[in-house]
Amino acid sequence: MALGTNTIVKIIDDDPSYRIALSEIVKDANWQPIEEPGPLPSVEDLYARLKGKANFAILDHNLKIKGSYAKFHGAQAVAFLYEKKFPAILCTTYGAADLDTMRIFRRKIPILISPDNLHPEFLVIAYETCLNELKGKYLSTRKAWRTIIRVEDVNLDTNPKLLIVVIPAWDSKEKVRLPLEIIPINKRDNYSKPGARFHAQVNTGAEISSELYFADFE
Amino acid sequence: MHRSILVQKFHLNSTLQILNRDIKMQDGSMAIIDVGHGNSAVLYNHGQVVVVDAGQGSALLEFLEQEKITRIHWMLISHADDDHIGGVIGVLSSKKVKIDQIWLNTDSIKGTDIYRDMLIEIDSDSSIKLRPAFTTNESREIQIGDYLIDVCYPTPAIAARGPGSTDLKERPLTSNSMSAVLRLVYKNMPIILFPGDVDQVGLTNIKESGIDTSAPIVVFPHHGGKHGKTSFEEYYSLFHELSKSETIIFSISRTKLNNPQPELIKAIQKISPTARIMCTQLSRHCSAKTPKDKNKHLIDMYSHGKQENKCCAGTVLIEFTKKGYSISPSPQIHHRFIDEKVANPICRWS
Repeated sequence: MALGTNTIVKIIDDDPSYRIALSEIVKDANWQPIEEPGPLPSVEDLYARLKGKANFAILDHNLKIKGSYAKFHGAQAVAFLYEKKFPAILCTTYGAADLDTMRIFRRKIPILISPDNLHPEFLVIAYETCLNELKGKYLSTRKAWRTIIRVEDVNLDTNPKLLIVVIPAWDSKEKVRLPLEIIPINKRDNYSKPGARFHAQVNTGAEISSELYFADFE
Repeated sequence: MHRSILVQKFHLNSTLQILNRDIKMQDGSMAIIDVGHGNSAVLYNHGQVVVVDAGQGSALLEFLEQEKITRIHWMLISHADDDHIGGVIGVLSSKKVKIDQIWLNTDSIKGTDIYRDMLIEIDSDSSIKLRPAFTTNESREIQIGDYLIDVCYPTPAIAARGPGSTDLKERPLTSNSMSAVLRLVYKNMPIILFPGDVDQVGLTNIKESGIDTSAPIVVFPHHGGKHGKTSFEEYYSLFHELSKSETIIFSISRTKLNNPQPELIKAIQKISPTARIMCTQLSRHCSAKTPKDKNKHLIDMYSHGKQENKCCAGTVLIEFTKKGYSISPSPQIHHRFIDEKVANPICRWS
């Protein structure tokens, strides 16, 4: 859909004050914001509210904090919309634990941004980036390559259970938290050992670790 | 001609046709790739490809894919730092590009897992010929048509000592002290120097050995960052004495580290005031913000910073002609970009 004043952007955030703030940014991009008041019982229900009624969506990640706004996380919703080829971004503040949840869905989250960094110009770029990716045209930071992964540590007492890994082709010094949940069940035992090495598809062009995603474990 | 030689020639030619068949790079050209923080350069001539260092992340892979390069005949690694070997692991793991030979110097103090990761990947492909030491003895073994690769450093004696020990005059040798220094020679003219991350001890050894490392173009060591306690002026003074380069390329990242250091640029401007300085990406010393417009001044090759307008010169292309060589982007185009879009270009201080 062409960019213009008719572009409708749905804002999904459990905090009304954030919805208002994001609406202002959308208006500054000369687009039309629609705030979603909730409640949202499922990702399918969210998609039904978007399909044919909006062009783009901005979602917070923690949608479960204030009352009964939604029964899912924003990351899960953006990934579901991605599968439906609906462009959406995740605009949220996050800590390490949030990032673990997001990592599970990161393959299908084209843009993750902090609200402090969201401005009208970026919003336009983000929309174009989403549309391009849904057509199979990836930014180099989002393109996956087969690469070797080394397990540094295993945390099975945490929630979620984690492998602490290094991706030497990306950055040999940075340790990355990889939720075990992403890995196919039949491979988890073999991978859950310090010193283990395996291959998977990873976007090794990522600038920072929060951008990394993992897929197609071998 | 003997039949076996004919058969060998046929096999060589058909392999070259299958691999690198649709290559986009022009014959007789070398790209100094914008890989962000790190180094990587690709030489292409008559179907054969030499890669000097591999950067880090996916930039080399992206470049090779865009240029439709599917086979590397020689991968030369100056030393075992992440920003030079990370990309080797990326290429090996990807299984997208065939590598015939990898030359590197064993680096025992690296004792690191990344070094082991790389060796595991090399070992998993029995068709790769690994040369775990290359010194001045191997100089000019690599020849593609009119192009030769000089191995200027380390000497066999330095390589035999190895990082973690000392040189023959008891100066400490680090990985950088014995970083391989390579030079591309075209029709017997030295053109580009690749000094890896060679430090003051390495340069001193080169000088004392009387090795010729002069070349009009250089990819500057250590991305324009500091080498231990040596002052920038002291380091550049010796470097310039040995290289005499007129075009100095800094392969840098806008986001990682903050190079090149302004003190180094001042030293360059003092000692060699007519030198042309080219940074692959736009240093934060030069501009706090990236330009809003698309980087139209860049050449039509992969640059890691292109998508986010982070480039200054971007990927630099050197093309060889009967008369010599040309550098793209040209000074006119590059300087116009700097003058119009860059707030405080340190390369234009005078």
